[in-house]
Amino acid sequence: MRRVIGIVPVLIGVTIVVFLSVRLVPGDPAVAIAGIAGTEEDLARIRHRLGLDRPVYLQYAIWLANVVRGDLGRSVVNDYPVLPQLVSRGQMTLKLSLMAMLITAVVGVSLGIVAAYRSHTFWDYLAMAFAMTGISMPVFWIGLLLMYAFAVRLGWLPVAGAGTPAHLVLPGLTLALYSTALVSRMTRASMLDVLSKEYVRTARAKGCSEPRVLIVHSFRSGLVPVITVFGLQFGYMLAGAVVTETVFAWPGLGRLLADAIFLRDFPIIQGGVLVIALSFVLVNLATDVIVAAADPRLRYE
Amino acid sequence: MAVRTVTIALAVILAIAGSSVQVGRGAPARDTLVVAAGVQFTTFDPLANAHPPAFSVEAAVMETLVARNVKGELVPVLAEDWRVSSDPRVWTFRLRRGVRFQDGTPFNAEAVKANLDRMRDKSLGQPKNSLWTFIEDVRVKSEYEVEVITEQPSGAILALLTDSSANIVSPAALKRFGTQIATNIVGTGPYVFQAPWAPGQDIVLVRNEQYWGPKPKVQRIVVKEIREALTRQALLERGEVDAVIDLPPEAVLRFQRDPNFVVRKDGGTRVAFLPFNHSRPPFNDLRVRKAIHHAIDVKAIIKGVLRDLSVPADNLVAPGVVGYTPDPDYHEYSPDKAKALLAEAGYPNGFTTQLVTPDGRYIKDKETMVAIAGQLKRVGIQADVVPLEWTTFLTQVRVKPDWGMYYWSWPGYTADAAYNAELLLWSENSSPKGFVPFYKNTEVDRLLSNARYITDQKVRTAMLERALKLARNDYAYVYLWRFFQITVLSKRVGGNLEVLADETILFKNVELR
Repeated sequence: MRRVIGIVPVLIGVTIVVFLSVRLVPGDPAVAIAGIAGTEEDLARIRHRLGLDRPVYLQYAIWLANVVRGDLGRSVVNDYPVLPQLVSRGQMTLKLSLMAMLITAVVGVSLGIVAAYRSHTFWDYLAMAFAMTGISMPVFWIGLLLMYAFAVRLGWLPVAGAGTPAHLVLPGLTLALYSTALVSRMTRASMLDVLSKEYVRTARAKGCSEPRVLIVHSFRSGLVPVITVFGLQFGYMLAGAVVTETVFAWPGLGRLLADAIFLRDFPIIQGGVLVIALSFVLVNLATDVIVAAADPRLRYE
Repeated sequence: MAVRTVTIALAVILAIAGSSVQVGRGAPARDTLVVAAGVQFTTFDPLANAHPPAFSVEAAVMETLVARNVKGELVPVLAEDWRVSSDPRVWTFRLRRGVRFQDGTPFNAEAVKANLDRMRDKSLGQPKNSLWTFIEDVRVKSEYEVEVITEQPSGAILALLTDSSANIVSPAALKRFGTQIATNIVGTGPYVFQAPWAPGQDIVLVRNEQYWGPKPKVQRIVVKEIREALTRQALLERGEVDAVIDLPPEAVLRFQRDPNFVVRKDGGTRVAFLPFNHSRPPFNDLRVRKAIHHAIDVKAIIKGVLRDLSVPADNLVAPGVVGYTPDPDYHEYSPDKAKALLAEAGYPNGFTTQLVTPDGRYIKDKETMVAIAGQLKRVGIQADVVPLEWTTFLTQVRVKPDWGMYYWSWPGYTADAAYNAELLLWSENSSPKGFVPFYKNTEVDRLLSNARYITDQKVRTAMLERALKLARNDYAYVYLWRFFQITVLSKRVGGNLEVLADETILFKNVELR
């Protein structure tokens, strides 16, 4: 409970930093909106309409008061309300992140277990070579490569966009590559550690079957550090994956936020960062709870 | 246990994925034209600042009283004809009868008045309001006759009425949506905009079965916002889209070789140019500006960097725009002349300056500027290329004029030079009031301000031509090249896709095979 209350100052801190930093970036939203034909009076009128002519602390106070009432404001470019945009884009990001986390969980963890169980064999080297590649490859490039291979050449999957479950596969794989690689390495290290423990030897000595040794005796305690990495990765993904979303034209939160930054659409930037910070904090909280469930030693008093 | 968890997770994810809206399927339906554009669509409010691909959506949904055709001629659309009375401030427009907006509202004089009144209402604070404040009053004469009274006689009114800001919106929709008309446009045009639409979603246009003119052949048009050029290319190759607006030169060359695609190079009305900071040395010296003009080998850059997707420009506006005059000898590449002029101006060893460029806004913008910097170096000018993201670029060139030169390009708005010239040459619009880089020639100012009030189009055109010639001789800007509007079409697309001078694409005569 104390941790839940602790979220509030974190969120306030984040919003203040964002509020100030978007206003420090060079580039005036009024100039962007006025375009080529707007006169100097238009600039003043637009600044007034957006409230940019008020002192920053007052702007923040007004914004915060509205947020507390559930009003995140409207886009300065097209007057479209911010909240529904964040909700619809957030759903898309959530879908993509869940897909990527599923791939990470299945592929990353199994690769790690295989590599640890057959350590220093061909299979271990193969799995870890994959992990190294996954960590070092630029997302942009791997995305285009997957698109070229599976969509353009083989024609198995759609090139880009959203709509059918098939549209989720390539961006999901692209987004999952890094975290899969990371999780497989974590799993391997953690499992190697556990597999050399005495209780594992005892389990084998008393005649347990190998799958039982692996899954019941080793996996659960080997899982704890993996869950932490998993939670962090999930948090990053929820913040939006601008590159993956751009390559696959996936209408997610990352793209929305990046576009808003280019247009200096302050209400969207502020609302978006608030949502992202909130989801990051919540995922971390959930991770802690799950870790505590998996390992009773880590439970808070 | 683990297996069961995974199965459940899989089921959950498939359920989420399956619940998604059906937006993009594989190959386009037979009666649907799918277009991919690389820009960000934000607003379709005619009065908001919009860029050409948004004009194309607006032009499918809404219409103006008067329009330009592809040849640049004025043609009647919602107005059947017009005349200026003996008082040159009074224009009378006779409106087309029997037209309805897509929401059923009748199109009549009241609707036109509501739109013109909104256009000239400065208190709205929309960027294009300032174009229309010259209108003093709008009077409904009868159901189908409107009288427009201007403060002064206006020579540009007809040209301006072809601008996208003069699109006529349903007055009922204006009342209902207010500022949110930006994402809910309703007009009289051949296609109906499917609302609600949220930024980032596909834009869906459905044929207006009640359209007053010849019905378009294509039933549905879907415009997708695909920001990554390689993704647009892949979508077109796979047949998931039928047309792509804007591709990098390499991709265009690839499609030019492929018989399954048609590469359209239209228009060529977007003029790219170098503005100088006329308020400070060395650029306040005509000889320096002329030296830079001689030092740039435009043809080499067009061939080497732009891959012939543009042609040399010789004026502020392009051929086909009212006020254009050619100068066949404009581009004379001569480093020797450049060096001599620099020496004459007192810079025998050149100087150091900044060359500010938008980054990723125009085809190969940064690359072409690096090439120009290389050519300038040969005559001793050290120009540091500073790439800036768009909003920063606009703010800097308008509000903080601490640059030496920059790079910009403009299409031929309204196909009439007055529009671009007033915003780029009239010293009254010097930054920060506007974007004129402190260029001042009193004769140019006089011609532009007088041309505003001349209703005799011949006299007015001659004045605009003269103003532009004077600015060219002053080297107010160095004109570089004119970009073609690049559209790559699949073989499925037939009929007649038309591109106007302001880069608006007209879809209404397109057919699908």
